[in-house]
Amino acid sequence: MFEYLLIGRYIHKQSFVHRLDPRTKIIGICLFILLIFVTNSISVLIVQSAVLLVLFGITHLSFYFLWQGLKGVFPLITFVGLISLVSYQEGYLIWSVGPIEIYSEGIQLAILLPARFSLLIFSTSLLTLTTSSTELAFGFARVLRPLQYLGFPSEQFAFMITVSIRFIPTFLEELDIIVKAQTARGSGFNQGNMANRMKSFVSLIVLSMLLTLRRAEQLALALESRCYRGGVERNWRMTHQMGWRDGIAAIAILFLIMITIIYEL
Amino acid sequence: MQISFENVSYWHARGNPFEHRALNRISLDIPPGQFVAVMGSAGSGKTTFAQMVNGLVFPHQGEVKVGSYRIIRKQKDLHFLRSDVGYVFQYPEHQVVGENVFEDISYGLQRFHHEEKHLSSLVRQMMEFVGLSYEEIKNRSPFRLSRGQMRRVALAGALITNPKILILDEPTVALDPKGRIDLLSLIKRLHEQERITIIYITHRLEEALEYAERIVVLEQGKVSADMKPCGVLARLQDLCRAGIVMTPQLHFMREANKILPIRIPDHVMKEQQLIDHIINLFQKSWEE
Repeated sequence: MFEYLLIGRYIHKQSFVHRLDPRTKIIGICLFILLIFVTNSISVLIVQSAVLLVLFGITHLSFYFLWQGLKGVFPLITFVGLISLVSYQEGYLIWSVGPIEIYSEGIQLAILLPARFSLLIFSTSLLTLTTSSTELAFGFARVLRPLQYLGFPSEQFAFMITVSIRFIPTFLEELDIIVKAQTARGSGFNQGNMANRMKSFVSLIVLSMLLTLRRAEQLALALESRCYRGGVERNWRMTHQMGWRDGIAAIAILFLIMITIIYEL
Repeated sequence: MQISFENVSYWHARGNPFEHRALNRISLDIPPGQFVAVMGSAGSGKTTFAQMVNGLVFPHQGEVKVGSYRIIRKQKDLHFLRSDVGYVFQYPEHQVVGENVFEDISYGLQRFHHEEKHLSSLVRQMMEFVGLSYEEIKNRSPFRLSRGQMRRVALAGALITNPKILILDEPTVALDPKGRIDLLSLIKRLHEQERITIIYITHRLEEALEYAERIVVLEQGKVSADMKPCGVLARLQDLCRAGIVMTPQLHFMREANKILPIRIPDHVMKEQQLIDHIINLFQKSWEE
């Protein structure tokens, strides 16, 4: 059921994107997300999507795989688009039927918001698909390092983010088992009246929360038994040096920043 | 209920880099009332096979029939099938649905049969059958029970709908030896009394030899052996290839087969049976 979701999964390849320094990827993706939320131009979003598609293309991963991963969130994205289409009433009136009125700005928002959400999921998936959890931990720790001087627990924060991302697929696998186990017992997630469905979902959420908390407790014990101490700087098995690939990635992101600034000004 | 698999294939995460073929053109029939042990190493397709019987996963190729139900995604009445097929998952905590033991056990009955009458007496009967004290634990949270008790609660919850097929996915994992023997004896008693079909997934050959009437071995999604327990000695190579660890008794029988100048019959599986067989042979030759 959740086996097609992309986020949190890593696939080992030897592509250009895989070989980028994790810091470059993290900073690049953060800037990219900032850009997609700053821009109000559909043309800029098209350019940004094209850059992301090119990056995905050179990871040697199949586009069918990408499509399968994204189509799971399409209902949510469509819902967001529809809500913005009918609720945003700025610009000039284009069409009206009964209480529903569609304005020019509403149409633009109905395109922008779903596109932004799709790009957000796509870009973060690209990060996790091409960066192993150890590399992510290293990258986050180094990117957040300057904040240490302001008293921010950057090492712990980086570790927390990495563990959270690492456990997304595990959590989804467990959720899949719980859904099947409860279906076998008669829970109707797709059938019965709304009250029954809600009851099934509540029981599913409560159980998955409980099991996740239990897993977190076990993980904390396991970390402690392996001498993990928060707040102490770790030694890294791997060391990364930025290279020419990171230079090209920086140029690409600068190009996107320039385009966004030009269009937005 | 007859279970029939015809040329069935199934892929996990089909079409993406994590794709894994769980079942590979499986064809087999399980007649009503049979106790079948399904064995194989991790990832051999045992759980997928069992989940298909319950309509939790659907074949990508081939056809699965359970009684009069066809296991296809569009089938509307799979809900009714599930009331006829009890399923005890590997980790009982995954199938907890009630706040307390009473609610949890009675859940299936309320969902499938919408029965409110005689609920307490049925729950009591089930709890007593699986060896749990009704008065003592009916109001306790299932999460406050020991793993063995939780497994019994799960079994009672699966049995309360009076299923015709019972699927047990490694029910003895993480149980102490006594808990394991108690649970297995309970399952055996259930099979003998009710004659329901039991699909018992296990890694332990000794359990399959002791309790099952038929052993199906899966290897990389294919049926690599399908035999009666008495035929195991002849298929030891298949079992080893499928990653199944031999029992000390089987080791002994294999070595005895090599050393002894007599042919050991298939039904002789234990040391004591072998001794009895040899004594019988001696007695016969003495009489002659």
